[in-house]
Amino acid sequence: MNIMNDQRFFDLAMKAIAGHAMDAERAELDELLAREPKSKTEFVRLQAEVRFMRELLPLVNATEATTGEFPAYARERLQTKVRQTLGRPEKADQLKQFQPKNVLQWEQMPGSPKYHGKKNRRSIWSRLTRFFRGTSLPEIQVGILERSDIIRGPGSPPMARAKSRHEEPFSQTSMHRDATNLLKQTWRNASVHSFANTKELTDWESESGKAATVKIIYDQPAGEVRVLGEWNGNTLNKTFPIDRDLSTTLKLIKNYLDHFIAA
Amino acid sequence: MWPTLLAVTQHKLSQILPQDVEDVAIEAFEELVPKVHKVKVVEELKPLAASIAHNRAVSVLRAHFAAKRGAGQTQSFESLKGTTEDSSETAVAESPLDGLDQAELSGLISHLLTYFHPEQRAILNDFFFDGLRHDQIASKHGLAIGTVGVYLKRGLEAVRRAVARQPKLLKELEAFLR
Repeated sequence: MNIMNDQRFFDLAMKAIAGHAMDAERAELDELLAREPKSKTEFVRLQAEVRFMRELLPLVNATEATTGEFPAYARERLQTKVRQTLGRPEKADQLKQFQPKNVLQWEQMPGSPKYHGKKNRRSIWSRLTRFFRGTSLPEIQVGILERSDIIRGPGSPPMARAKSRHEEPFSQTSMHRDATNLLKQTWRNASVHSFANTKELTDWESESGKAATVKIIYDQPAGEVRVLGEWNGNTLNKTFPIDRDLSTTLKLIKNYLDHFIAA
Repeated sequence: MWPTLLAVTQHKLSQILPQDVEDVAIEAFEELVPKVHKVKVVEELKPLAASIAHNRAVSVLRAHFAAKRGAGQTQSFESLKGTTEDSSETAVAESPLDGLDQAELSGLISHLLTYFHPEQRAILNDFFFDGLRHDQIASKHGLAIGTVGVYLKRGLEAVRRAVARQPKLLKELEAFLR
């Protein structure tokens, strides 16, 4: 018998170590231990591995713990430490040494995983710095109008009037799909709300939500993206015209928001 | 991140130094900050945090036992074991992971996190923590009794493989076998 691979021996050993073995099982194990010279060594090894497991499992479980809030009295102390280590957002020179460029260099070292792309590293850096500068992030909500032909009346901006000639609902156009995807890619964890008309959108926009919420409204007919909300006691209300294209505007907004949140 | 740090310090300190649980977790958080730039992927952060919290808690326990004896010197748990009235406390505090540095422990946690899928981890927790018997676990998860044993065996095999990959861990295990 190969004692190392024997499931029966393993089961008996586990029961004995845990103190669950019945008399008959204990006797069967004793017989195996007496008969197989290697089984004693294996049994002792299993005892040690069980100890390892009992120590390791709480640490593995801890990585998925969700309860407990960072104590308010220690927040300032931690933020000071963060500032000393990571620097303030505006101090680019202090931040430089920790920026993704250098992370890239570490990862180019032999043996480092090759599958982590540049984008992923930027995301890590961004999440880490945000995390350590505050202890959480505001909730981001995105609002999109579904139809373009009923949004604006006479006197609307030229862009809106041009779009209103489209018979096809905006929600079914590739432009709408592209815009939605772009917004989702820019704010991956954001909740996306679609609205059939301006009134619904305006109602949602003016709803007073939670304090730590930022709303991003893509008003395609008006050719603009509005950003409003509240974070850390600061109010945000800014309109970004889509001068070039939506992608460029969203990058500007993301950059603006990152600074607003980190401030 | 905070729940991870707190869970580890609670596990290590709640029986002997419950008043220090939160303080040690805060100190571990502060220690984590300058080490963040060493992390390659976000998923490595929590294992690193857990290992820092664990090692800090172990240091605090050692200092506590040393101070209790008035020596002012830190001692290994091994040297304390069975020598004083505190042997029951040291037995609680002692861990085969104590000799590992942060990187080694963090790597070990990451390895097991990758290896254990949620169902397997639930069964391991039932057996190793909650002390449930094979038949109780089988009934709880709707499995055959034999399957429970297979899950436990695979779990310990994962630990064995992780230990074999790290010479220092192997040494720790061998020390426990003596």
